[in-house]
Amino acid sequence: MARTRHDALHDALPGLLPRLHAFARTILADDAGDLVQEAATRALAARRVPDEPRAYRAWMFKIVRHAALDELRRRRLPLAAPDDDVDLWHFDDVRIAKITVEQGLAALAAPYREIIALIDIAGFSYSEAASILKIPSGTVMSRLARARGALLAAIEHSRVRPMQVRKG
Amino acid sequence: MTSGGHDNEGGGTASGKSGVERAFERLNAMVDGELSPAERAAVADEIAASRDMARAHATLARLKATVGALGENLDDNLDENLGGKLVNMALPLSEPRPSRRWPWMLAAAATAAAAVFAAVTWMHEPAETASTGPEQPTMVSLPALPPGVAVPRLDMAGLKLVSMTVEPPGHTVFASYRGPHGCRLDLRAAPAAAGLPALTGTARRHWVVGDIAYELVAHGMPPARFALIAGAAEWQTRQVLDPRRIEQPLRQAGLDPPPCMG
Repeated sequence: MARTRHDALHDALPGLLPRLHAFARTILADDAGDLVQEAATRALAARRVPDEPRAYRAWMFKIVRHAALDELRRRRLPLAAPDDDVDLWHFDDVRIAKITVEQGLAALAAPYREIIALIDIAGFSYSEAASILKIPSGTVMSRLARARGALLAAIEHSRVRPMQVRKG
Repeated sequence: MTSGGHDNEGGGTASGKSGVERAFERLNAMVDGELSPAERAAVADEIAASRDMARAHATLARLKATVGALGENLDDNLDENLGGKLVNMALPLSEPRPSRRWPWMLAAAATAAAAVFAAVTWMHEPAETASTGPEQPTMVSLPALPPGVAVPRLDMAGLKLVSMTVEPPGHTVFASYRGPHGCRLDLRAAPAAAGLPALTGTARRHWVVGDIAYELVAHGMPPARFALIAGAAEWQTRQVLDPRRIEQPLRQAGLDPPPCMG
């Protein structure tokens, strides 16, 4: 059977999975694996697939996002209030480590987690993120700034202190 | 994307923002590479003139890099049953199927299952590696892997583990890595006693650790780069986790990587 253009696009799916999973995890930590599997199944079964790789990538993130938001609505999870009570200009960078960032992300409101994940984990541009979220690019910019401020505040208020590790 | 004339979330206007908010937004856009050249130059001047701006810029850059690394080195405590389930999905799909109705879907599902499995393996890193930095190379090690087999991580060289299958008989492990410039590496780990024929590729490295024979082949990768990566891979499988033998060669291989041919 001849390979179709869609087959070629689906070949990109394995390479997307780690970041799809990381993105899903920022929205819905405990079910990220299931969400990504569900999204991959939907994608492989879809009759219409975007025609070029960048659009295919954005399409996959949209599928994961919709699945995650459906689950959030089903569970009626409360959204954490953003907390930006932090001095952004004198932040102690030593506190920024993988473990504190993960915990900080988990404490943020879903829209903040989502915008940070789209830009920093998925690697989308502001305009691409705007297209995925269906909001103006300027809103991406302001929401992202607020989200990062809230994330820094969450890190600042965390009781976890990263341990300095000497390599070698 | 520029910083001028954008919407202010929450119903306000851009002009309603404080100077601090605008400055912070511009710094974020700077870190994200979303400013126009003129804006970028202006913000660069501000950073040069203000210690606070420079400090905040560094903070945002570090934050962005750390968040970004979450997608490269997953260490979630995923349910081990899920890993087993995906292994089971991958194994039968690697064998010929009588069904001809959905051949492309089966092939795609097999690829996806193997790749999801590979992604899952990234999440099984020991918890103590979390604090050693997001780029620490860590071998893939799963209960589902045949005893003694370790699958090296090559992310520091820009090569992602995109698929992995475990095939009986002999429990041969096949892993594939892909790079951003078309580079491709295939790894096979099999019992040394099996005496399997050599894999084909433009460059090849073979080594034995205990009872396991490893073979890493490249497809079009420049020989010098392959030598760095293969050496680091071998040291990982030998569990000699010396940064000089693993991290440094991988980073060197990842610097300005020339595109692979073929």
